[in-house]
Amino acid sequence: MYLFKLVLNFLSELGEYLIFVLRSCISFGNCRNRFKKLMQSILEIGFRCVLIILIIGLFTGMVMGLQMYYTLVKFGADTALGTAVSLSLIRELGPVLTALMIVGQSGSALTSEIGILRNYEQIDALETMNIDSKGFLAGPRIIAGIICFPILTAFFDLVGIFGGYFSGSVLMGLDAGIYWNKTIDSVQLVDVNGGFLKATIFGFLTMGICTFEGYNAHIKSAFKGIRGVTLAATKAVVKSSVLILIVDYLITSFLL
Amino acid sequence: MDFKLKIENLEKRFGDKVILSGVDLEVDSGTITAIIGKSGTGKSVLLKLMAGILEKEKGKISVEYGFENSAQDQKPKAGNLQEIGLSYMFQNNALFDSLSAFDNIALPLVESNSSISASVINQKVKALLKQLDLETVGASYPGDLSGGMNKRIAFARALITEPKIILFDEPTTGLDPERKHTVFDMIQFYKKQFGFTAFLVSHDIPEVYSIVDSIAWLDEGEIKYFGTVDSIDSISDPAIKHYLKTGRLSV
Repeated sequence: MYLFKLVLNFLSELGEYLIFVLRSCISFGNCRNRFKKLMQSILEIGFRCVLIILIIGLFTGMVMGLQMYYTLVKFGADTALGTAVSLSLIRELGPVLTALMIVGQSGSALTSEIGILRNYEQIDALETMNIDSKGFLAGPRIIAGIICFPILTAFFDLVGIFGGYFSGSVLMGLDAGIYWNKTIDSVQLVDVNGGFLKATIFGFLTMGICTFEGYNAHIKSAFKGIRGVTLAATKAVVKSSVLILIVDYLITSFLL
Repeated sequence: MDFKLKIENLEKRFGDKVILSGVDLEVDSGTITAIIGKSGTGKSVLLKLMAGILEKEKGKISVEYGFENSAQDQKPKAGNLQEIGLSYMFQNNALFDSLSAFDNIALPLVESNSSISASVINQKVKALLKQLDLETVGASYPGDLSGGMNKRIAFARALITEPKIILFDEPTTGLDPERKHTVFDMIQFYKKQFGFTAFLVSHDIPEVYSIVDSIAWLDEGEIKYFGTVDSIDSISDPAIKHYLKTGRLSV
Protein backbone atom coordinates (compact mmCIF):
# COMPACT_ATOMS: atom_id res chain seq x y z
CA MET A 1 0.00 0.00 0.00
CA TYR A 2 2.82 2.38 0.95
CA LEU A 3 4.67 1.54 -2.27
CA PHE A 4 1.52 2.11 -4.28
CA LYS A 5 1.07 5.53 -2.69
CA LEU A 6 4.71 6.36 -3.37
CA VAL A 7 4.40 5.42 -7.05
CA LEU A 8 1.17 7.39 -7.33
CA ASN A 9 2.80 10.47 -5.78
CA PHE A 10 5.76 10.15 -8.11
CA LEU A 11 3.55 9.89 -11.18
CA SER A 12 1.40 12.78 -10.03
CA GLU A 13 4.44 15.01 -9.50
CA LEU A 14 5.92 13.93 -12.83
CA GLY A 15 2.68 14.93 -14.53
CA GLU A 16 2.65 18.30 -12.77
CA TYR A 17 6.27 18.85 -13.72
CA LEU A 18 5.71 18.04 -17.40
CA ILE A 19 2.65 20.29 -17.61
CA PHE A 20 4.59 23.08 -15.89
CA VAL A 21 7.58 22.82 -18.25
CA LEU A 22 5.45 22.63 -21.38
CA ARG A 23 3.18 25.49 -20.28
CA SER A 24 6.21 27.62 -19.41
CA CYS A 25 7.78 27.13 -22.82
CA ILE A 26 4.51 27.71 -24.69
CA SER A 27 3.68 30.80 -22.59
CA PHE A 28 7.16 32.16 -23.21
CA GLY A 29 6.34 32.06 -26.92
CA ASN A 30 3.51 34.54 -26.26
CA CYS A 31 5.57 36.85 -24.00
CA ARG A 32 6.77 40.26 -25.04
CA ASN A 33 10.52 41.09 -25.12
CA ARG A 34 11.42 37.44 -25.55
CA PHE A 35 14.90 38.09 -26.90
CA LYS A 36 15.81 40.36 -23.99
CA LYS A 37 14.53 37.85 -21.43
CA LEU A 38 16.36 34.99 -23.12
CA MET A 39 19.63 36.94 -23.21
CA GLN A 40 19.28 37.80 -19.52
CA SER A 41 18.67 34.13 -18.71
CA ILE A 42 21.65 33.00 -20.80
CA LEU A 43 23.76 35.52 -18.89
CA GLU A 44 22.43 34.21 -15.54
CA ILE A 45 22.69 30.51 -16.30
CA GLY A 46 25.49 30.26 -18.82
CA PHE A 47 27.87 33.14 -18.40
CA ARG A 48 27.90 32.79 -14.61
CA CYS A 49 29.29 29.24 -15.00
CA VAL A 50 31.96 29.76 -17.67
CA LEU A 51 34.91 30.20 -15.31
CA ILE A 52 34.03 27.28 -13.05
CA ILE A 53 33.41 25.04 -16.07
CA LEU A 54 36.83 25.94 -17.50
CA ILE A 55 38.58 25.23 -14.19
CA ILE A 56 36.76 21.94 -13.55
CA GLY A 57 37.19 20.88 -17.18
CA LEU A 58 40.93 21.58 -17.14
CA PHE A 59 41.58 19.69 -13.92
CA THR A 60 39.32 16.79 -14.88
CA GLY A 61 41.30 16.42 -18.11
CA MET A 62 44.61 16.69 -16.22
CA VAL A 63 43.61 14.03 -13.68
CA MET A 64 42.36 11.77 -16.44
CA GLY A 65 45.61 12.30 -18.36
CA LEU A 66 47.66 11.22 -15.34
CA GLN A 67 45.50 8.26 -14.29
CA MET A 68 45.07 6.90 -17.79
CA TYR A 69 48.73 7.36 -18.65
CA TYR A 70 49.75 5.25 -15.62
CA THR A 71 47.18 2.57 -16.52
CA LEU A 72 47.90 2.49 -20.25
CA VAL A 73 51.68 2.51 -19.88
CA LYS A 74 51.43 -0.81 -17.97
CA PHE A 75 50.02 -2.43 -21.09
CA GLY A 76 52.31 -0.55 -23.44
CA ALA A 77 49.31 1.33 -24.79
CA ASP A 78 50.24 4.85 -23.68
CA THR A 79 49.85 6.08 -27.26
CA ALA A 80 46.09 5.58 -26.85
CA LEU A 81 45.97 8.32 -24.21
CA GLY A 82 44.47 10.91 -26.60
CA THR A 83 41.73 8.50 -27.62
CA ALA A 84 40.88 7.54 -24.03
CA VAL A 85 40.80 11.10 -22.71
CA SER A 86 38.89 12.66 -25.59
CA LEU A 87 36.24 9.94 -25.95
CA SER A 88 35.63 9.73 -22.19
CA LEU A 89 35.22 13.48 -22.00
CA ILE A 90 33.12 14.01 -25.11
CA ARG A 91 30.80 11.03 -24.63
CA GLU A 92 30.39 10.91 -20.85
CA LEU A 93 32.21 13.18 -18.46
CA GLY A 94 31.79 16.43 -20.38
CA PRO A 95 27.99 16.53 -20.49
CA VAL A 96 27.54 14.96 -17.04
CA LEU A 97 30.05 17.06 -15.07
CA THR A 98 29.05 20.25 -16.89
CA ALA A 99 25.38 19.63 -16.06
CA LEU A 100 26.20 18.90 -12.41
CA MET A 101 28.29 22.06 -12.16
CA ILE A 102 25.61 24.27 -13.75
CA VAL A 103 22.94 22.82 -11.47
CA GLY A 104 25.14 23.46 -8.43
CA GLN A 105 26.05 26.98 -9.49
CA SER A 106 23.07 28.41 -11.37
CA GLY A 107 20.27 25.92 -10.70
CA SER A 108 20.25 26.39 -6.94
CA ALA A 109 20.38 30.18 -7.35
CA LEU A 110 17.53 30.00 -9.84
CA THR A 111 15.32 27.96 -7.50
CA SER A 112 16.04 30.31 -4.61
CA GLU A 113 15.32 33.39 -6.71
CA ILE A 114 11.95 32.11 -7.96
CA GLY A 115 11.15 30.77 -4.47
CA ILE A 116 11.79 34.20 -2.96
CA LEU A 117 9.60 35.82 -5.63
CA ARG A 118 6.88 33.37 -4.61
CA ASN A 119 7.48 34.08 -0.94
CA TYR A 120 7.13 37.84 -1.33
CA GLU A 121 3.98 37.50 -3.47
CA GLN A 122 5.75 38.83 -6.57
CA ILE A 123 4.51 35.87 -8.61
CA ASP A 124 0.95 36.67 -7.47
CA ALA A 125 1.63 40.30 -8.40
CA LEU A 126 2.55 39.22 -11.95
CA GLU A 127 -0.71 37.29 -12.24
CA THR A 128 -2.76 40.29 -11.09
CA MET A 129 -0.98 42.34 -13.77
CA ASN A 130 -2.17 39.80 -16.36
CA ILE A 131 1.41 38.63 -16.92
CA ASP A 132 1.79 34.87 -17.31
CA SER A 133 4.27 34.15 -14.53
CA LYS A 134 5.33 30.79 -15.94
CA GLY A 135 6.19 32.27 -19.31
CA PHE A 136 7.79 35.30 -17.69
CA LEU A 137 9.94 33.48 -15.11
CA ALA A 138 10.39 29.82 -16.05
CA GLY A 139 10.10 29.81 -19.85
CA PRO A 140 13.23 31.86 -20.69
CA ARG A 141 15.30 29.94 -18.09
CA ILE A 142 14.36 26.54 -19.53
CA ILE A 143 15.12 27.66 -23.10
CA ALA A 144 18.39 29.25 -21.90
CA GLY A 145 19.28 25.89 -20.31
CA ILE A 146 18.77 24.14 -23.64
CA ILE A 147 21.10 26.66 -25.29
CA CYS A 148 23.75 26.99 -22.58
CA PHE A 149 24.33 23.36 -21.59
CA PRO A 150 25.74 22.18 -24.98
CA ILE A 151 27.90 25.34 -25.32
CA LEU A 152 29.38 24.93 -21.84
CA THR A 153 29.84 21.22 -22.49
CA ALA A 154 31.89 22.12 -25.57
CA PHE A 155 34.06 24.42 -23.41
CA PHE A 156 34.48 21.65 -20.85
CA ASP A 157 35.46 19.08 -23.51
CA LEU A 158 37.99 21.39 -25.15
CA VAL A 159 39.82 22.43 -22.00
CA GLY A 160 39.58 18.85 -20.68
CA ILE A 161 41.31 17.47 -23.77
CA PHE A 162 43.93 20.17 -23.38
CA GLY A 163 44.32 19.16 -19.70
CA GLY A 164 44.91 15.55 -20.80
CA TYR A 165 47.57 16.78 -23.23
CA PHE A 166 49.24 18.81 -20.47
CA SER A 167 49.43 15.84 -18.08
CA GLY A 168 50.24 13.17 -20.69
CA SER A 169 52.60 15.04 -22.97
CA VAL A 170 54.04 18.02 -21.09
CA LEU A 171 54.40 16.32 -17.69
CA MET A 172 54.74 12.61 -18.54
CA GLY A 173 56.58 12.97 -21.83
CA LEU A 174 54.18 11.34 -24.31
CA ASP A 175 54.77 12.66 -27.81
CA ALA A 176 52.39 15.58 -28.45
CA GLY A 177 51.89 14.60 -32.10
CA ILE A 178 50.71 11.14 -31.08
CA TYR A 179 48.31 12.59 -28.49
CA TRP A 180 46.67 15.04 -30.90
CA ASN A 181 46.62 12.62 -33.86
CA LYS A 182 44.94 9.93 -31.79
CA THR A 183 42.46 12.47 -30.48
CA ILE A 184 41.54 13.72 -33.97
CA ASP A 185 41.41 10.21 -35.47
CA SER A 186 39.27 8.63 -32.78
CA VAL A 187 36.63 11.31 -32.24
CA GLN A 188 33.74 10.90 -34.68
CA LEU A 189 30.89 13.30 -35.30
CA VAL A 190 28.49 10.79 -33.77
CA ASP A 191 30.40 11.01 -30.45
CA VAL A 192 30.17 14.80 -30.43
CA ASN A 193 26.48 14.71 -31.38
CA GLY A 194 25.78 12.17 -28.64
CA GLY A 195 27.44 14.41 -26.06
CA PHE A 196 25.50 17.45 -27.23
CA LEU A 197 22.24 15.49 -27.24
CA LYS A 198 22.83 14.56 -23.61
CA ALA A 199 23.71 18.14 -22.70
CA THR A 200 20.57 19.49 -24.38
CA ILE A 201 18.33 16.98 -22.59
CA PHE A 202 20.08 17.69 -19.26
CA GLY A 203 19.54 21.42 -19.81
CA PHE A 204 15.84 21.00 -20.46
CA LEU A 205 15.25 18.61 -17.57
CA THR A 206 17.34 20.27 -14.87
CA MET A 207 16.29 23.86 -15.56
CA GLY A 208 12.71 22.58 -15.62
CA ILE A 209 13.19 20.99 -12.18
CA CYS A 210 14.88 24.08 -10.73
CA THR A 211 12.17 26.47 -11.93
CA PHE A 212 9.40 24.02 -10.94
CA GLU A 213 10.71 23.62 -7.38
CA GLY A 214 11.15 27.38 -6.94
CA TYR A 215 7.73 28.18 -8.40
CA ASN A 216 6.04 25.70 -6.07
CA ALA A 217 8.23 26.36 -3.02
CA HIS A 218 5.13 27.30 -1.00
CA ILE A 219 3.20 24.13 -1.93
CA LYS A 220 5.79 21.40 -2.30
CA SER A 221 7.67 22.06 0.90
CA ALA A 222 6.49 21.15 4.39
CA PHE A 223 7.88 24.50 5.49
CA LYS A 224 6.90 27.99 4.44
CA GLY A 225 8.98 31.14 4.14
CA ILE A 226 12.76 31.17 3.86
CA ARG A 227 13.08 27.58 5.12
CA GLY A 228 10.72 26.48 2.37
CA VAL A 229 12.90 28.25 -0.20
CA THR A 230 16.15 26.67 1.03
CA LEU A 231 14.49 23.25 1.10
CA ALA A 232 13.22 23.80 -2.45
CA ALA A 233 16.77 24.70 -3.58
CA THR A 234 18.20 21.58 -1.95
CA LYS A 235 15.49 19.39 -3.48
CA ALA A 236 16.08 20.92 -6.90
CA VAL A 237 19.83 20.21 -6.79
CA VAL A 238 19.42 16.65 -5.46
CA LYS A 239 16.65 15.73 -7.91
CA SER A 240 18.53 17.26 -10.84
CA SER A 241 21.79 15.51 -9.95
CA VAL A 242 20.14 12.10 -9.61
CA LEU A 243 18.17 12.64 -12.80
CA ILE A 244 21.33 13.59 -14.72
CA LEU A 245 22.97 10.26 -13.85
CA ILE A 246 19.85 8.17 -14.54
CA VAL A 247 19.14 9.89 -17.86
CA ASP A 248 22.83 9.66 -18.80
CA TYR A 249 22.69 5.90 -18.36
CA LEU A 250 19.49 5.64 -20.38
CA ILE A 251 20.77 7.76 -23.27
CA THR A 252 24.14 5.97 -23.30
CA SER A 253 22.48 2.57 -23.46
CA PHE A 254 20.25 3.88 -26.27
CA LEU A 255 23.12 5.41 -28.25
CA LEU A 256 25.59 2.51 -27.97
CA MET B 1 -18.39 53.47 -16.64
CA ASP B 2 -20.79 52.69 -13.81
CA PHE B 3 -21.01 49.14 -12.60
CA LYS B 4 -22.10 47.05 -9.65
CA LEU B 5 -19.69 44.58 -8.10
CA LYS B 6 -21.44 41.50 -6.75
CA ILE B 7 -20.10 38.75 -4.54
CA GLU B 8 -22.57 35.93 -4.02
CA ASN B 9 -22.32 33.03 -1.59
CA LEU B 10 -18.51 32.92 -1.79
CA GLU B 11 -16.84 29.99 -0.10
CA LYS B 12 -13.18 29.15 0.42
CA ARG B 13 -11.48 26.34 2.32
CA PHE B 14 -7.84 25.44 2.89
CA GLY B 15 -7.97 21.69 3.43
CA ASP B 16 -10.55 21.13 6.14
CA LYS B 17 -10.33 24.69 7.42
CA VAL B 18 -13.22 26.85 6.29
CA ILE B 19 -12.09 30.43 5.70
CA LEU B 20 -15.09 31.95 3.99
CA SER B 21 -18.49 30.35 4.29
CA GLY B 22 -20.94 32.30 2.19
CA VAL B 23 -19.81 35.87 1.68
CA ASP B 24 -22.33 38.17 0.02
CA LEU B 25 -21.50 41.73 -0.91
CA GLU B 26 -22.75 44.30 -3.38
CA VAL B 27 -20.81 47.48 -4.03
CA ASP B 28 -21.37 50.39 -6.40
CA SER B 29 -18.61 51.71 -8.64
CA GLY B 30 -16.61 54.73 -7.52
CA THR B 31 -16.78 53.88 -3.82
CA ILE B 32 -14.17 52.89 -1.25
CA THR B 33 -15.09 49.91 0.92
CA ALA B 34 -13.08 48.98 3.98
CA ILE B 35 -12.96 45.28 4.81
CA ILE B 36 -12.26 44.98 8.50
CA GLY B 37 -12.18 42.15 10.99
CA LYS B 38 -9.96 40.20 13.33
CA SER B 39 -6.69 38.71 12.09
CA GLY B 40 -7.16 35.38 10.33
CA THR B 41 -10.79 35.91 9.38
CA GLY B 42 -10.04 35.78 5.66
CA LYS B 43 -9.91 39.45 4.66
CA SER B 44 -6.82 39.01 2.45
CA VAL B 45 -8.23 35.71 1.15
CA LEU B 46 -11.36 37.59 0.05
CA LEU B 47 -9.22 40.11 -1.85
CA LYS B 48 -7.15 37.32 -3.43
CA LEU B 49 -10.32 35.56 -4.56
CA MET B 50 -11.50 38.81 -6.11
CA ALA B 51 -8.16 39.20 -7.88
CA GLY B 52 -8.25 35.61 -9.13
CA ILE B 53 -5.05 34.66 -7.29
CA LEU B 54 -6.91 31.98 -5.34
CA GLU B 55 -9.54 29.58 -6.62
CA LYS B 56 -12.93 29.72 -4.93
CA GLU B 57 -14.76 26.59 -3.84
CA LYS B 58 -18.19 28.00 -4.48
CA GLY B 59 -19.95 31.26 -5.25
CA LYS B 60 -19.68 34.03 -7.80
CA ILE B 61 -17.76 37.27 -8.12
CA SER B 62 -18.94 39.43 -10.98
CA VAL B 63 -19.49 42.95 -12.18
CA GLU B 64 -22.66 44.12 -13.84
CA TYR B 65 -22.37 47.06 -16.19
CA GLY B 66 -24.85 48.55 -18.61
CA PHE B 67 -27.50 46.42 -20.21
CA GLU B 68 -27.58 43.81 -22.99
CA ASN B 69 -30.28 45.68 -24.92
CA SER B 70 -31.67 49.05 -24.12
CA ALA B 71 -35.39 49.38 -23.43
CA GLN B 72 -36.68 45.96 -24.52
CA ASP B 73 -34.44 43.71 -22.48
CA GLN B 74 -33.19 45.04 -19.17
CA LYS B 75 -30.82 42.13 -18.53
CA PRO B 76 -27.54 43.47 -17.12
CA LYS B 77 -24.22 42.69 -18.83
CA ALA B 78 -22.01 40.66 -16.55
CA GLY B 79 -18.29 40.09 -16.62
CA ASN B 80 -15.43 39.29 -14.31
CA LEU B 81 -13.28 41.79 -12.46
CA GLN B 82 -10.23 41.21 -14.64
CA GLU B 83 -12.22 42.07 -17.77
CA ILE B 84 -13.04 45.58 -16.66
CA GLY B 85 -9.55 46.18 -15.22
CA LEU B 86 -8.24 45.34 -11.76
CA SER B 87 -5.08 46.12 -9.83
CA TYR B 88 -3.86 44.76 -6.54
CA MET B 89 -1.63 46.55 -4.07
CA PHE B 90 0.05 43.96 -1.89
CA GLN B 91 0.73 44.30 1.81
CA ASN B 92 4.50 44.06 1.23
CA ASN B 93 4.27 46.01 -2.06
CA ALA B 94 5.59 43.01 -4.10
CA LEU B 95 7.97 45.24 -6.05
CA PHE B 96 10.76 43.61 -8.04
CA ASP B 97 14.13 44.34 -6.40
CA SER B 98 15.96 43.83 -9.69
CA LEU B 99 13.95 46.55 -11.44
CA SER B 100 14.18 50.28 -10.91
CA ALA B 101 11.14 52.21 -9.65
CA PHE B 102 10.48 53.33 -13.24
CA ASP B 103 10.64 49.77 -14.59
CA ASN B 104 8.47 48.44 -11.77
CA ILE B 105 5.77 50.95 -12.60
CA ALA B 106 6.09 50.30 -16.34
CA LEU B 107 6.04 46.51 -15.98
CA PRO B 108 2.28 45.92 -16.45
CA LEU B 109 2.36 47.93 -19.69
CA VAL B 110 5.70 46.61 -20.97
CA GLU B 111 4.54 43.01 -20.56
CA SER B 112 0.94 43.49 -21.64
CA ASN B 113 -0.18 42.04 -24.94
CA SER B 114 -1.80 45.25 -26.06
CA SER B 115 1.35 46.34 -27.98
CA ILE B 116 1.65 49.83 -26.50
CA SER B 117 4.70 51.59 -27.93
CA ALA B 118 7.74 52.23 -25.75
CA SER B 119 7.38 56.01 -26.12
CA VAL B 120 3.76 55.95 -24.90
CA ILE B 121 4.76 53.79 -21.91
CA ASN B 122 7.59 56.20 -21.19
CA GLN B 123 5.23 59.17 -21.26
CA LYS B 124 2.63 57.49 -19.05
CA VAL B 125 5.14 56.41 -16.42
CA LYS B 126 6.78 59.84 -16.34
CA ALA B 127 3.39 61.52 -15.93
CA LEU B 128 2.48 59.19 -13.08
CA LEU B 129 5.85 59.67 -11.39
CA LYS B 130 5.23 63.40 -11.51
CA GLN B 131 1.68 63.09 -10.18
CA LEU B 132 2.79 60.97 -7.26
CA ASP B 133 5.85 63.08 -6.49
CA LEU B 134 8.24 60.30 -7.42
CA GLU B 135 10.17 62.05 -10.18
CA THR B 136 13.46 61.97 -8.30
CA VAL B 137 13.38 58.24 -7.54
CA GLY B 138 12.58 56.84 -10.97
CA ALA B 139 16.06 55.39 -11.39
CA SER B 140 16.34 54.10 -7.81
CA TYR B 141 15.76 50.51 -6.80
CA PRO B 142 13.14 49.49 -4.18
CA GLY B 143 15.86 48.28 -1.81
CA ASP B 144 17.36 51.78 -1.67
CA LEU B 145 14.07 53.53 -0.85
CA SER B 146 12.02 54.02 2.30
CA GLY B 147 8.87 52.01 3.08
CA GLY B 148 6.64 54.99 2.38
CA MET B 149 8.30 55.65 -0.96
CA ASN B 150 7.92 51.98 -1.94
CA LYS B 151 4.20 52.18 -1.07
CA ARG B 152 3.86 55.05 -3.52
CA ILE B 153 5.72 53.14 -6.21
CA ALA B 154 3.44 50.14 -5.64
CA PHE B 155 0.47 52.50 -5.83
CA ALA B 156 1.79 53.98 -9.07
CA ARG B 157 2.17 50.46 -10.50
CA ALA B 158 -1.42 49.73 -9.52
CA LEU B 159 -2.60 52.92 -11.24
CA ILE B 160 -0.59 52.68 -14.48
CA THR B 161 -3.12 50.43 -16.23
CA GLU B 162 -5.93 52.82 -15.28
CA PRO B 163 -7.91 50.07 -13.54
CA LYS B 164 -11.55 50.36 -12.62
CA ILE B 165 -11.01 48.44 -9.37
CA ILE B 166 -8.04 48.53 -6.98
CA LEU B 167 -7.67 46.11 -4.11
CA PHE B 168 -5.50 47.38 -1.24
CA ASP B 169 -4.25 44.70 1.14
CA GLU B 170 -3.31 46.47 4.38
CA PRO B 171 -1.59 49.39 2.62
CA THR B 172 -0.51 51.02 5.88
CA THR B 173 1.19 48.03 7.53
CA GLY B 174 4.52 48.96 9.07
CA LEU B 175 4.05 52.71 8.67
CA ASP B 176 4.07 55.29 11.44
CA PRO B 177 0.80 57.16 12.20
CA GLU B 178 1.78 60.17 10.11
CA ARG B 179 2.63 58.06 7.05
CA LYS B 180 -0.55 56.03 7.54
CA HIS B 181 -2.57 59.20 7.13
CA THR B 182 -0.49 60.15 4.12
CA VAL B 183 -1.30 56.81 2.47
CA PHE B 184 -5.01 57.13 3.27
CA ASP B 185 -5.04 60.70 1.94
CA MET B 186 -3.22 59.50 -1.18
CA ILE B 187 -5.83 56.79 -1.82
CA GLN B 188 -8.66 59.28 -1.35
CA PHE B 189 -7.01 61.94 -3.50
CA TYR B 190 -6.24 59.62 -6.43
CA LYS B 191 -9.61 57.91 -6.16
CA LYS B 192 -11.14 61.34 -6.85
CA GLN B 193 -8.68 61.93 -9.68
CA PHE B 194 -8.84 58.51 -11.37
CA GLY B 195 -12.31 57.44 -10.27
CA PHE B 196 -11.51 53.85 -9.37
CA THR B 197 -13.49 51.60 -7.02
CA ALA B 198 -11.43 50.50 -4.05
CA PHE B 199 -11.49 47.71 -1.51
CA LEU B 200 -9.27 48.27 1.44
CA VAL B 201 -8.30 45.68 4.03
CA SER B 202 -7.27 47.54 7.14
CA HIS B 203 -6.80 47.20 10.88
CA ASP B 204 -6.64 50.96 11.34
CA ILE B 205 -9.97 51.52 13.04
CA PRO B 206 -11.30 54.19 13.23
CA GLU B 207 -8.68 56.08 11.14
CA VAL B 208 -9.68 54.31 7.94
CA TYR B 209 -13.27 55.53 8.28
CA SER B 210 -12.18 59.01 7.21
CA ILE B 211 -11.73 57.89 3.60
CA VAL B 212 -14.23 55.08 3.08
CA ASP B 213 -17.81 55.13 1.86
CA SER B 214 -18.78 51.81 3.40
CA ILE B 215 -17.53 49.20 5.83
CA ALA B 216 -17.74 45.44 5.56
CA TRP B 217 -17.06 43.58 8.80
CA LEU B 218 -15.90 40.04 8.14
CA ASP B 219 -16.29 37.60 11.00
CA GLU B 220 -16.48 33.80 11.13
CA GLY B 221 -16.32 33.57 7.35
CA GLU B 222 -19.23 35.90 6.69
CA ILE B 223 -19.92 39.59 6.26
CA LYS B 224 -21.62 40.34 9.56
CA TYR B 225 -22.04 44.04 8.90
CA PHE B 226 -22.12 46.09 5.74
CA GLY B 227 -23.06 49.74 5.76
CA THR B 228 -21.87 53.29 5.92
CA VAL B 229 -19.73 54.72 8.71
CA ASP B 230 -22.64 56.89 9.85
CA SER B 231 -24.93 53.92 10.28
CA ILE B 232 -22.70 52.24 12.90
CA ASP B 233 -24.64 54.07 15.60
CA SER B 234 -27.85 52.38 14.55
CA ILE B 235 -26.44 48.85 15.16
CA SER B 236 -28.37 47.20 17.94
CA ASP B 237 -25.73 44.66 19.06
CA PRO B 238 -23.46 46.59 21.45
CA ALA B 239 -20.52 44.16 20.95
CA ILE B 240 -20.48 44.66 17.16
CA LYS B 241 -21.00 48.38 17.62
CA HIS B 242 -18.07 48.53 20.03
CA TYR B 243 -15.79 46.59 17.68
CA LEU B 244 -16.66 48.70 14.66
CA LYS B 245 -16.07 51.89 16.62
CA THR B 246 -12.84 50.93 18.32
CA GLY B 247 -11.45 47.87 16.53
CA ARG B 248 -11.54 46.00 19.84
CA LEU B 249 -13.88 43.29 21.04
CA SER B 250 -15.79 44.25 24.13
CA VAL B 251 -15.39 41.86 27.05
